[in-house]
Amino acid sequence: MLAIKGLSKSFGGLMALDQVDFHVAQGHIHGLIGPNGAGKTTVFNVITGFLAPSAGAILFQGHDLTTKGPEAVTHLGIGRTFQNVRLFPQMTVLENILVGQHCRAPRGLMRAFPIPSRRERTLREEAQELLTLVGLEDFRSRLAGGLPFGAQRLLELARALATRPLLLLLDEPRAGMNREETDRICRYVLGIRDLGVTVLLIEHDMNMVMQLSDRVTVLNFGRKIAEGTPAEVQKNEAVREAYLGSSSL
Amino acid sequence: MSAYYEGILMAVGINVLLSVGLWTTVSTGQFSFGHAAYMGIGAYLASLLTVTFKAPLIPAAALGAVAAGLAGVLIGFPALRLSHLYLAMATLAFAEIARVIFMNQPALGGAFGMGGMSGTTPLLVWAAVVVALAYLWLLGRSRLGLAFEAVRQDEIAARAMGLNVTWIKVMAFGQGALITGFAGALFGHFTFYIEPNMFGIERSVLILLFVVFGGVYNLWGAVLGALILSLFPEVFRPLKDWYLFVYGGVLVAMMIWRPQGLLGQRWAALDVLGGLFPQAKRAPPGPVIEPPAASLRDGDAGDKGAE
Repeated sequence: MLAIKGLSKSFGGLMALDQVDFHVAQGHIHGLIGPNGAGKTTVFNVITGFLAPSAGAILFQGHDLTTKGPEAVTHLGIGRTFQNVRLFPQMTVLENILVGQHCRAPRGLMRAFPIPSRRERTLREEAQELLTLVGLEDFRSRLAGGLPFGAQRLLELARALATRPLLLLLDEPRAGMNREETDRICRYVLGIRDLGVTVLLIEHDMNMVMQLSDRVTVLNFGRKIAEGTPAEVQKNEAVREAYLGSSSL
Repeated sequence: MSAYYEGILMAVGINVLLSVGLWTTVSTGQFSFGHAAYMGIGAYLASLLTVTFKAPLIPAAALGAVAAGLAGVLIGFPALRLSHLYLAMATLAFAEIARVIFMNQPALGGAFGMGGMSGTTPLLVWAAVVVALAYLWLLGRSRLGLAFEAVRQDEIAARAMGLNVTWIKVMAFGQGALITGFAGALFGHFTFYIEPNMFGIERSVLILLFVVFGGVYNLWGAVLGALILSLFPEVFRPLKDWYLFVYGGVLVAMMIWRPQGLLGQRWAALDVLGGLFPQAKRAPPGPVIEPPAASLRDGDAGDKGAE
């Protein structure tokens, strides 16, 4: 579904990504792990068009994403969340979802008027569904910026789903979440996969990655050092070194 | 009604239009320091049409507004790739260029300006105000208005949602310039006489003051700002030329105690689209995300682990 070939990205002299190859299969939850600074978020930013790659290619369902901007990438069916939650803080919870639906809303001049069309009604009901799905239906009229952090992450997840992605990129969805919220996130990620959405997941919580992922790619210093099933990756020497090298101190 | 009050009524209405025109552009987070140029384009083109070509006022004003809107779009495309300070400088420079062009066009009267316009009535001005406010109120409750707001609040998140940020900003720029251009046309036919220096930097800054004073996040803030600041010199006549100092003082005070303006908050925030949408009776959840949704709600992370 998503093929990344020889992807490199340098910032000045720093090679953030160096000849990274991997492939995300349709219907999988694909984990992307690695120590801090390994280049995981850079991979996301390059895929979603926020950064242009220095070399290499990104293919998504036959489309070349290499030169596409974020808008086009979203329209092709890739949704994402951000490591440091980027909601529209002065909009209500519901409005955040409505913005997420933008690429599927009626087009043209009519967009400048609040016309209660059939399509619009369907979208609004769907927005309610999404809020119910993440348990935020009671907060629909609250400002997003005023929600507790965990709820903000859930809202961002729902907003990403509102774009109806085929592939969802989640950047550390459980960072800053408590135990109970983490369980919810795990359930949702599995549920999202079961909806037919492929998930590419960056996460530091090894338990979560190993439990959820069908396949895992490991980056270190911008290079791919391992790939395989969670069990294979856990046994891999290079991976142990990358992680345990520091934890054995 | 005495001519004096009619004059105030028109001047205030035109200022409200100017203010909401700029507000439209600012509502995507883009501060323009050159809106007087669009006002000038509207004023000059409409005046040229009515005085030289004897066109009726309303179509002439509409054409002036369209020309100003197009200029806004044209300036918008290159300018909106800039941000903050650079955008401010670019719009300021554009306004100066426009002023110099007005100054050097014999057909527009050059530095002597143009005269002979008339026909603006309080009714016409306030009808335009009502139409503009109605449109902007609807816009604020529409998908496009929401997109404007999204771009203002977080451009990166907006792009990740698939919003074409450049296009949205250009739309906001063009629509703002259009309203400002119409206000300019009415202004020209209200003062009977226009000259290039009426559309200089002072005017741009004054329009910006209306918006900043009233509150940039709220349409009604822009209206309120224009009402208060344009009635102020009328009420405080004894201050004579000193009222600009008072303006300055008020603004410094605002920056210290209320930087968000008089009306600091978005109002439409409560339920966009909601007012015009009868709330759908909440039947059991539709099939939108049906079958797997159940598994999400009941949720069982255990499934996968057990495999």
